[in-house]
Amino acid sequence: MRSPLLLAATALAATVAPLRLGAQENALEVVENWNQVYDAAYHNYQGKEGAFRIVDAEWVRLNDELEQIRRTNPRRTRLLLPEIQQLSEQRTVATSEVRAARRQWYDSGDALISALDGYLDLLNLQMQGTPLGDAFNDLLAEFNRWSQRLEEVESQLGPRLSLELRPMPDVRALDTDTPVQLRNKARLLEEEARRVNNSLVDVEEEIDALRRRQERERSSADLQARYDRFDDIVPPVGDPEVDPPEVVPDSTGTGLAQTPAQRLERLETFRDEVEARRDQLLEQAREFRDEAERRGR
Amino acid sequence: MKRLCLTVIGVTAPVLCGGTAAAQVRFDDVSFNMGVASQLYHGDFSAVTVPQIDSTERALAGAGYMGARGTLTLLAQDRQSLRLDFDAGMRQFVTNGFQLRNYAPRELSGSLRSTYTRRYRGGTLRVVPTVESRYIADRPPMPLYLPPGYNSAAVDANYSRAISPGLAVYGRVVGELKDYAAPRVLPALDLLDRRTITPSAGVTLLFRGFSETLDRTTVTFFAAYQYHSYPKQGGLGLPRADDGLQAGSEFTLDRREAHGFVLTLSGNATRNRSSSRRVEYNAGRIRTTAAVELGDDTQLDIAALWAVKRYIHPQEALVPGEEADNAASVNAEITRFLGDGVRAGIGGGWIRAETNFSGDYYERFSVSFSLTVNPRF
Repeated sequence: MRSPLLLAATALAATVAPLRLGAQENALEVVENWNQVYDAAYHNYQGKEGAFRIVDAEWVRLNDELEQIRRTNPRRTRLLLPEIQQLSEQRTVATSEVRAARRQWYDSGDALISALDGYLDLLNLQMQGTPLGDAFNDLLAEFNRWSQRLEEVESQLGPRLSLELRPMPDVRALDTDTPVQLRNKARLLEEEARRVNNSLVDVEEEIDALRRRQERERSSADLQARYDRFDDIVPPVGDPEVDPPEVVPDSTGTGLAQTPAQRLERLETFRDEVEARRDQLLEQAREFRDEAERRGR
Repeated sequence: MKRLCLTVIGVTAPVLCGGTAAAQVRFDDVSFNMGVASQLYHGDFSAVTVPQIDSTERALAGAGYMGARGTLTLLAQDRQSLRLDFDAGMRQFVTNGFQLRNYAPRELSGSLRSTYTRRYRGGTLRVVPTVESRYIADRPPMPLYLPPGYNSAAVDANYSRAISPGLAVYGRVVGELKDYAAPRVLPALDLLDRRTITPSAGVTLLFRGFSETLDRTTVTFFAAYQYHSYPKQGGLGLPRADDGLQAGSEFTLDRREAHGFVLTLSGNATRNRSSSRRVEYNAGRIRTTAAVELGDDTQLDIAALWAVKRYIHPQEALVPGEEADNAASVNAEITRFLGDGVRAGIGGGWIRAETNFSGDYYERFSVSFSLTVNPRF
């Protein structure tokens, strides 16, 4: 019995060794490593996001222009259409790049926060056992330095889901507005409603993909549960197998902490919000048009 | 039994303590399933734990079954979660082809597993107590092999931690008690009572699939030591105790969103040494599961197993619960997604287990039809 226990102890020791050997130095090394990865991912995301904004701003400007001159200037319309088409393609590529960069940024952020949590816990423990003096002050300075970094990273990451609506445009009907001005304001609101509605496409696509995955995974899990329930595919061959534990993705430092079911729920809530916002904008635009008609009489 | 009660308390205590988190309580992945199956068994296999003997080598069975499972999420926070998985089922057989009489086995099964997960010092700690019970009435003789009923309690504690992006190590200890609660007329079942402790360690690599999907590839390598104690086996006052070393790996290729399939392949090798010379063996297993989408509303699931065992010393008698040396099985089911949360499945399966020293075997062919409903709460 002794030798198997020794073997088991060795196996476990091998697993936890990186955590025990020179705990502080090791933890600091991990933090610094993730800090570098995070910085690179953050700057990469900012670069991609900046490039996207330039393309997006131009795309929005041309679309607005097209909306205004479509009926009055056919020549300019003919010139604008291929330009918008080309920009749309660029915008699609840029969107995809931003998403990928954002995911890397979030993933590295999660990993850095985990590493910082561990390191700060460790420093805290050490401070509790250190008398006041230079050594304590060094630990405190180190603690404060990385605490600030943690706050900074958390603030940069902000809410993890970019499922947030833009603020409602502040468009109001004034007593002095002419019917033309009111119609222009209504058009603005309708345009915003169109944009909001367009953003629904991405959300719906993701909801469909997640729901499909969830259904398929559940189907396979139900089947496996049926086999397991009565040990249907367990032949009387030998001792039970050792299955590796289920991978907890955030333990691999690559994110995915949110389950597909949770993500699906957030997306469905967001979709409902988007639909409500679109309807609200269209309703307001309708009121403006009615008012314009009333004032025009 | 006392230990089982303690573990039941262990499983349910977190549930009772979860009262403060009542606002977060929710049901996930609840499913109700029912179906019918037809099974054909044949062979001349014998099992120590099946005392009745019937001279037939071919038996036919029809079965109706129903089951329910689901997850109760009691706590879901960024840093910790507590979930309770439950599963219960019943299966009733009618049989034909036996010489003595036609048996009508009924199986009842239930399990309760709570999973407490916590981010701890940059890693993830999981504690999973489980209780499980299976009961079988009117267990038939061979060749209609149905595994015996039991009560079991287990605690699984594991800690995993990233050491670089996409690479994690874990350490794990699993302790299990299995009590076959033999009725007076079947004392041989008690021979299977077992206590097991399994420390293991492993490394997992995770690679992301295509951007904007949850597709991924994981590879895990692990090594484990298994200590089994069989208090009712052995002679001369020395109960049987086995020391097993197991090493293996598992590979999962999840391309569900990009290409519509998931493939899992795992294999392990075991070196079992024992205080009883006759149960010293080396064994190996390969297992694979796959799910392939066939169009928009259909999925094919396949599960296959190949197991082989070689005793170190010549065998002269059967080892209770481990009567077979080699086994292979293939099961497949085609599932049709009928509507929101409703599925129908048609499946088939084949399993064969055999001994080396006597050449005995049993074989089962089965076909089944099932209906599953996943209500949304």
